[in-house]
Amino acid sequence: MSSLEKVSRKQSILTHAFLWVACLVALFPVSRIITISLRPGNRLLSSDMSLIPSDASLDSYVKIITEKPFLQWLYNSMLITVSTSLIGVCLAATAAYAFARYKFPGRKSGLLFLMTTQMVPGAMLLLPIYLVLTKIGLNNTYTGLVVAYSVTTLPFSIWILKGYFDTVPKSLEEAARIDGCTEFGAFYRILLPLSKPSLAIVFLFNFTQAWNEYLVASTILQDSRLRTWPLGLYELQGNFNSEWGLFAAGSVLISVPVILLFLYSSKYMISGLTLGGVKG
Amino acid sequence: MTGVSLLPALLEIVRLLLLVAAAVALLVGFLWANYKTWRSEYYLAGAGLISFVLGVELHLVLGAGLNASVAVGLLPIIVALVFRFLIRGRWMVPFLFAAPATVGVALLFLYPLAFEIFLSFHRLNLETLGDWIRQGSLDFTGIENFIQVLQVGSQTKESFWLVTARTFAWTGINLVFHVLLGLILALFLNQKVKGVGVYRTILMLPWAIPQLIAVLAWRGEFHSAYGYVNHLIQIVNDVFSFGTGEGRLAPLEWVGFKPQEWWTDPHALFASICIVNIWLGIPFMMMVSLSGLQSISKSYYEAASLDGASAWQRFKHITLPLLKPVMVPSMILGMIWTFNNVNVVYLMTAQRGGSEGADILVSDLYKQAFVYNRYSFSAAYAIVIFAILLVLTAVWMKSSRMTEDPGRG
Amino acid sequence: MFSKTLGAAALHSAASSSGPAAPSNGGKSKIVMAIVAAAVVGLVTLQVLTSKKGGSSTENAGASSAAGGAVELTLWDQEESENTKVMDDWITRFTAQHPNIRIVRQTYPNEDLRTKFTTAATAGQAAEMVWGPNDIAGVFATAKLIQPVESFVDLSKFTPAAAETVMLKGKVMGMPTTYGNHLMLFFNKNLVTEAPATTDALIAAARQHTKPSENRYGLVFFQNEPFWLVPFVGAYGGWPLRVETDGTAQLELNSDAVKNALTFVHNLKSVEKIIPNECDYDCAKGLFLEGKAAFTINGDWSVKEYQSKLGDKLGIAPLPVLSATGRPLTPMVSGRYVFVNAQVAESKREALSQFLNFLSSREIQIEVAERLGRIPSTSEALNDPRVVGLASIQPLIQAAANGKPMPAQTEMRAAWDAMRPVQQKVMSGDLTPEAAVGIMQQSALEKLASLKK
Repeated sequence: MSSLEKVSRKQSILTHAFLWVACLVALFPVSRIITISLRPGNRLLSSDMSLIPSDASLDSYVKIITEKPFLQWLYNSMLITVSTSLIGVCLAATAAYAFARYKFPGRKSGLLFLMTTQMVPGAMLLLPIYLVLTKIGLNNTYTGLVVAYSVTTLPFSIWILKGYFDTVPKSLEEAARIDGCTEFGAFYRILLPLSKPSLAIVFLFNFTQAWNEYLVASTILQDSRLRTWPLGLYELQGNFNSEWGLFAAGSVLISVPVILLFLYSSKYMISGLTLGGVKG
Repeated sequence: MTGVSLLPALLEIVRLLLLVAAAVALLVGFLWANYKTWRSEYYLAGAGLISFVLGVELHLVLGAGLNASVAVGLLPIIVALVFRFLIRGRWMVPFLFAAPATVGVALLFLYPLAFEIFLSFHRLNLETLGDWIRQGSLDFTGIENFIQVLQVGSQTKESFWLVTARTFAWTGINLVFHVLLGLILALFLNQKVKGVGVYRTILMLPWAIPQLIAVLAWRGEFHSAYGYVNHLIQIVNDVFSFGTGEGRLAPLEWVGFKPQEWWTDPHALFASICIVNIWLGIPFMMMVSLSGLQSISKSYYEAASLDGASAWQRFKHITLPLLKPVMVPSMILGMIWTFNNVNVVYLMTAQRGGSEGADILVSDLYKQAFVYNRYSFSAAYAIVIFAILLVLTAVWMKSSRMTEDPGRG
Repeated sequence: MFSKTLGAAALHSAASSSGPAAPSNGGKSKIVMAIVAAAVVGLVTLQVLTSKKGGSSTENAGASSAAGGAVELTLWDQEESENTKVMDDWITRFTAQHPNIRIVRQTYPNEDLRTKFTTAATAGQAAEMVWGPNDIAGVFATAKLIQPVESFVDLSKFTPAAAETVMLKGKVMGMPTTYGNHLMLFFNKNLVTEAPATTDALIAAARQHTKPSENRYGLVFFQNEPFWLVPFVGAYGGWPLRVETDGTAQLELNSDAVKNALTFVHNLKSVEKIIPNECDYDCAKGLFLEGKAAFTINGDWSVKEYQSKLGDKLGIAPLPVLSATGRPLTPMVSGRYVFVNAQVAESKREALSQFLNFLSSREIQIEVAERLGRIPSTSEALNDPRVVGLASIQPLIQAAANGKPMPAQTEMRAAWDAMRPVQQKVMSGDLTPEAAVGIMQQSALEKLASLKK
């Protein structure tokens, strides 16, 4: 069970077999997207079941980059996602610090309120958020979208960070305070560097939320130059003549950076996800 | 057309960051100023003056509406009263730290909440939309919308209770499989076998792939004739069948394991949506379990081994209890997210050829609001859904005592 | 400009609030001054930043037209990229003729156009014009989001058939730009040489090309979608809605015609076995383009793509005659229209009228046939030798001849939404056609009522 145990040969074979099957299931739709992207023409459904179609071509890839504003979509998504994550992490970290380290009236109810916001059905927020952003002149701008994104992910981010901060011993900061550090200094120089894994998790969470979001983006953005990739790809589905080949090629190109990011951050993920529940 | 406009976008982002920084500085500065001056004898008078000037400025110079100007204008004096009589200089550090996030969350959640509550007691739909836009007035209807939400269905309309029951089934099924499969995978990944990092990476893929893409790809696989799923079921059935032609015995088919018309049969459709969502959600629970497992100190197991505990006993008495504090919050979050998952259900059902027999509460809500434009009805609907989830979570949290702070109670 | 006044006002208030405190506590008031000054600087930056945004964006074309003379009109559509290229070319030509008008065009996919327009309208941000199909007319008109176009363009130049498809309560609610959007029969000349005249002949020919084990089918179409059912309903003498003379519509789904049509289509699958068990739009298209289906039923929008893939092996014919009644299958005919926002600014009406007249001009309407591959909506273009002589457009006109206009009333939307799930259940065998029609009617009535509740 635990990692300390010596794994017997038989058990090791069993483990490998099980993990192999699980990996196949995890990889299955991925391989199909790649297949579709290699098909010439725009066929989602085909009676051809082979992994690499006999008439495979890279047409779709060339086409989506040269004939569609694909790079613009990618660039927009990138800017929006990175700024959302940055703002989200900064605001969440400071708030989580307050919740984790200080006692103040409204602390408990504040935490409960944050939890409650997660239960609001998303569809319910769309129209009012749109009206608010329009009122302050932020509809159809990156700014409006980033503000909406970074705020909607805040509650979860704060919960995660607060949980993690709870596990970091307070004594370090106290020592720093005695050495003449300000509250902000203790937070910034002592606590934050110790919380890198959870910050990475929160960054990643914000990143995937903003990167994949469709409904809010389609409500707030109008200008086609501002569109993010989900809007663009969805558009490729067209009315009746879906451009599935382009859709799949775009999907592959878009998934690559996210997967790389996940690979890179997976080492942080393990230690960051404990939500502070366990002090190992 | 395909040229990428790089600079304007970048400039707007820079402007955005400055804007946010300025807003945060303004807010924190404002609070700090209050902390520094609340003792002064002219404090309230000064705040009143600022209130007045701000209100006048907004209304006359910036041309904001009268109500909005008064509301915003009153803010400084209200804050001042609070500072003077309630806060009295206490809790400066936590308030300053928490203020930016709190204000943001309050604005983007509380206002919509108030707006939806307003809508739910009025009549805003396709017919009244135009008048509402032009005149801003709506008929008050009392609790009529709520009564409609809770109405029992007919032969043509699914009842709210049926959809609710389906939503519970959906949440339960997903959660059980997420946790169970996630935990099993984590237990395997926690062993010292070769290439465990590679496995872990691949198993995280369903999480890493953008949902829109994954769901649409899965949807294609559930096509009755051209998808791999039916194809695979057929192969498995052929392997486990005896004889050929008319006399063929396929025991698996007797228990319903046979190719389905996934897109048209509501039951099969619901099953396929569950499968897709289970596939999507396992990695999260797997990573949570894994991180929990790795944070359990080895000394517990060493001690237990010395006492001669079997593997199962160790799992039951060490692993499970120590995993619980990690798993329960994630499970509650997982429940809420599954309950509120519009994307997967919507993409699997609402597309062309989709069926209505597989909707859960939130996807039904989305359709009522944005396909049928029943804004008031759906506002009431949303509030009911929210209430259900609130009760559900509260009960669970109470029973698992999650609100108790592990860190500093 | 006003950031200066704001700054002055803030400074003023700062001075007045900290001034009196100065004698009692000099140090503190300095801090206060500094804070207020910082706040002012923050506010001013905010002002500058936000006002810069207002200057660079062109949202407020009404105001700028008063100042600079340029009018900006926004046009939202849901066209495919092939067509939007043509539209962009027209817009370029129009703005070259009218340098003081700017047209911004945006595409929204599928249902998004409708959702987007209604949502944006609640905040007064919706486009001045929407280029879309007629089934959004009823919805937008019910919500009072669009206005009749008679004051913008002379309606007499459109063919009566085209104008009728957006007629609501005697008013033409959108300017027809194309006519058609109707179903027709396509066949693969590698498999069959000529189009059958009757459904019996179609079934007979299709049977020879059906081999489910090889994924070959005689006929493929989007069999679960009511739009594909309606031609059969028409051939049995019915129609989903009956439009009264006063412009109101009555739902007529609980009819023998609908029941017979459902039975007929279900039989194609269960008795004749010439169509796949399950086939949606993409599946039908895929099979036909792969050469695995002899016949398909699809709309005029697919002609271009089919032609480019199959070339001269593509055959196009009107839908056949229903053998049981001797009447031809009647596809629903509508088209594309430009709808005008009900709240369009007074200052933009002139420019809008000019643009609509440009789109319905002889030259553009001829290009509708030549470049979009659709039937023009004006009589003069339809009778122009360049269109009459166009081999690609004549089969479309023939196929539309047996069609009936698609009603624009909101009832039609309720009918679609009610028919779809029930038709699916009939096709999967969960419901008999006899039971289905009653449910369709009841469900449509409920959906109609719920639009008003």
